[in-house]
Amino acid sequence: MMRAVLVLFALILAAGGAGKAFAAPATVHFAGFALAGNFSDADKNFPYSNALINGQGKAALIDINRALIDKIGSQSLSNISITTDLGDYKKGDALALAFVLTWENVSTEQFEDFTKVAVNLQAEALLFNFATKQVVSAYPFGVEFIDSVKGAPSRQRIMDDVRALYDPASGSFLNAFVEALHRVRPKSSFGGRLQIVSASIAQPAADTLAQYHVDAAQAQALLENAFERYLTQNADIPVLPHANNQAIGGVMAARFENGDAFNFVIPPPDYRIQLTLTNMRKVQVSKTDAETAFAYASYLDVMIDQPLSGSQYLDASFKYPVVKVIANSGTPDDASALQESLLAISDQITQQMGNPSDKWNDKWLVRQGQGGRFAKTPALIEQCR
Amino acid sequence: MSANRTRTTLFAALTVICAGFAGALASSPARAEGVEIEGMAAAPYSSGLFSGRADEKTRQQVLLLAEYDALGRYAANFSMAKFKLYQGVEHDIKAHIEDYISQPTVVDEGYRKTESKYFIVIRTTINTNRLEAELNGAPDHGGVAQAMPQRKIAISFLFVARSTSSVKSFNDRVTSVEVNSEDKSAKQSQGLHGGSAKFSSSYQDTTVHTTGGNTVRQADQVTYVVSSPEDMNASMSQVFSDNGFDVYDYRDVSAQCGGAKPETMYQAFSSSDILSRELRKSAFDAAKQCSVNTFATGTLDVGLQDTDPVTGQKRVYVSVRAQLNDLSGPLPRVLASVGPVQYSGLGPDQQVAGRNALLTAASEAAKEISNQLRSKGLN
Repeated sequence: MMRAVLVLFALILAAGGAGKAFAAPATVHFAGFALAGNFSDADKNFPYSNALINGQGKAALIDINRALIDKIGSQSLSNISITTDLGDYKKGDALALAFVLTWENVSTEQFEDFTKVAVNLQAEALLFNFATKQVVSAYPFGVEFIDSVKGAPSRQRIMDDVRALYDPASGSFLNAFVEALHRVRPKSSFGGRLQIVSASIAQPAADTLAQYHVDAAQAQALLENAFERYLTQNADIPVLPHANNQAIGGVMAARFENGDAFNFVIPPPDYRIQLTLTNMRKVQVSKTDAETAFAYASYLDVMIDQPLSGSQYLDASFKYPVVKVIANSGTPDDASALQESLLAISDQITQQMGNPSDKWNDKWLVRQGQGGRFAKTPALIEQCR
Repeated sequence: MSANRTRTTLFAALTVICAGFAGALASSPARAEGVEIEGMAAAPYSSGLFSGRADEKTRQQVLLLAEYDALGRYAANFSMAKFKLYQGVEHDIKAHIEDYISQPTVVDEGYRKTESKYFIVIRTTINTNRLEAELNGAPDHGGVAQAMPQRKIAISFLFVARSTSSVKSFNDRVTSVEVNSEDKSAKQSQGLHGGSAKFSSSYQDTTVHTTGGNTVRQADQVTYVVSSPEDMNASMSQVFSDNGFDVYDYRDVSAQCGGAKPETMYQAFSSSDILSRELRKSAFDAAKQCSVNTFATGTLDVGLQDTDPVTGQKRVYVSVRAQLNDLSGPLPRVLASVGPVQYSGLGPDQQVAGRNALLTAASEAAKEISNQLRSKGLN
């Protein structure tokens, strides 16, 4: 009898193994390159990339998408099956994938007669499910290009630098996207739904941003996108998008034969995330004869609750700096550093949500003695997986 | 003992297999159509000393109340007409609530010490098809039903989609009036006083200018390109049919029973929001002749496209208005009226966006007409 059980067990294991061997990877519909955020803000948020992809009859966009499809075709991906065919989301064929540019930053620092130009492009491989209307996951990646020019750089020079990053032949940016695809793990089941329902900029933070010529609305959008992206990446959970946007409602919706995919409505969240950027500060932290180090700190209040019960999962104030060291003869790019600080604090807090560390808390909670603030978030993250 | 253990092991193994299949089904990307909604309930409870979780019996009671709450929240979004229907069958639905909602997901639960209550928040999917079917079978609630014979309602309709062809604007017509009136008066007197004579004369001339007039403003004269897209008609027919109506295509009604041709009706709607007396009578007479006891007409006006600032897609708005007449009496009687209500659609071009908006508008108008009829106990 025992032998019979063992045989049956072996059969079960074999069946399981066979099941795995024959389980087809999920089909995702590739939508190509897209810009994050609102269509009407594209020129402000991505001045160079937007000009590049929309110029000359969108020739550059066509080239980028063609190159991406070629590069994807040359990959051997076991986790997903990528197609450019149209899907039917009403039959469960609902996953769309896009290369979404999330941040474009051109930073300049002057050194005597020269200017250092740093072009930083941050993007994500975004997987969106049109049946559940959720961001299944986002896989961030980015590239940076450093240039040095005599005098002040012209717009054309910067444009050439940006174009070089998108270059299909040498394009490290496009390759970074293809590499990110190996990390994509499409989920097929969904738990609780988190969504950033508000992100506000308090007056002290708005004043600092204005002082360094950063548009508050732009900073708000950057914060929302970054927190959402890092949350799905660091906690490995799907989230509802904070709003419809040109990437999801425009480019990705077009990958379905259902014309009403454009009319999709984001469902209400189970858990709300409310962000308030209370302050931003620039502080000199050290100085030598040659260099000066500045800390650019963001102060962020994060509140997570359940709207019906009013249960709070997190209600705390955090601070987190990025440090920039520049030559004493140079001029710091404060605007870029402040924006980078928003990305850093989003990354850090979302890492803590699933796996909190007392040491981190002791250091970066604004008010001391508030340890244990993340006590409820690991269970919440588990609920959302 | 050994056999027992073997059976237990076998059972456990099979359970694992079944659970695996169930898990695979549960995680299937294809999902049932429905509307997701949350519900919450709380009930008095005395927490145990060491446990914050209620006993299973209390949990199940609170869970059921949360399901009722979810259903109530969904129904709160109904139109007045539909809500009346819902009220009529609410008790029956709650008695078999498991037929109308999917297995709920518990989103939050716990014990509230300050209130001595145990609460549960759930998210569940309302089986809208099942619920609609129940509402369609709702009993007669109104006296209005007595006015119509108790049989299935036969309906024919003519809805047209219109997009602006031309707009003729008129300048203001200004009429100025000026009145000049002249008032002249003269006095003369004379008298003799002793050896002398005295004569006096006075003359007064007053001119009054009065200006006025009026400005007549004339509404723009709008002409439309009219069509009656088949998919729009199909969408409406499906809604009416799903709601238990017998649907008759107006093309058949006009052909069989001699009503005005559909093309003539379209032409009439190209320059006016209403039908002429003659056309209306012709259509109604034909319907009556064919034993169709209700007739609906309506317009869906397609607005100009703009670009959605969020997605960059083309966006089109459609404004819908409709009216359903009861033809069973000697005079037509308005049974249901909708709008004007606006719906928007998005798409990569104007055609797709317009079609999305039209289909939504047509379907919603048909649903609202059906609900209004049912709330009056008809059909």
